[in-house]
Amino acid sequence: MKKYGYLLFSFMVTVLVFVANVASASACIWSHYQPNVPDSLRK
Amino acid sequence: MSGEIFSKRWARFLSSQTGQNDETEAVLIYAIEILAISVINFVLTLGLGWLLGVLWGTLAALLTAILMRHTAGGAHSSSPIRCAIITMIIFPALALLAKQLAGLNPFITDLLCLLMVLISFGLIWCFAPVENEAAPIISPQRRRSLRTFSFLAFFVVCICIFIIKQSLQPWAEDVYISIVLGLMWSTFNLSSPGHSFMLFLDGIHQEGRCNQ
Repeated sequence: MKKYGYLLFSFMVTVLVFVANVASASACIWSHYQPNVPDSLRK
Repeated sequence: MSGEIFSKRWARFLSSQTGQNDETEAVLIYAIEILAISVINFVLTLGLGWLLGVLWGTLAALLTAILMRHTAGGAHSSSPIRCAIITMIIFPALALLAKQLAGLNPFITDLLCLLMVLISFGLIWCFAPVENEAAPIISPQRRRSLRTFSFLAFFVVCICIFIIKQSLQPWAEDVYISIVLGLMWSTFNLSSPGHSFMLFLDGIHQEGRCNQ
């Protein structure tokens, strides 16, 4: 069970890192508030 | 519980469960904030549009702004709450305005829309892409790409306007004018008056500050 939990959370981390990378490639997010882009994603 | 605490708590939990470092945790916080803000704003805006009877117009204006802001950027509010309020009010208001404009003489409406599309093109030409402190554009290559994609997004929007304008469906007139207004709003946000307007909206509630 613990193994499945680890796989699920790893999958969630992968999806979130992907989302962050896609968002940081655009000029800004669409809504009217822009959270601070982490230093590692600034380009 | 504020949004920031929520995203930090979830990011910390996922990091500890999967053994990530601090850098990845910061990325996770950013991703959770983006997703939360986007989903909440999207649902609230469409919900208000639906209540006001202008769901399709609101959706059209919103999708146009999403496309344009991703490539061209624009002015931002300094707080997520005010951002949600501004987003929730602006897009249904644009759809309601589109509904009013659709009732005018078609020649006047088309002329107004043409004028707004031309002004939008001029604003993209002059300002795109617009960065802000929270999401700076560091690389000149990325700046060039975003500028190119801004024009591409503009032409995609123009093609959509043209196609919907040809449609004989009863909703077509409202939707096409909503797209034009969504385009105008997102490109207005590129300009100095757009930033000043956002600063003004920010200041209505409390001491506001635009990100740029």
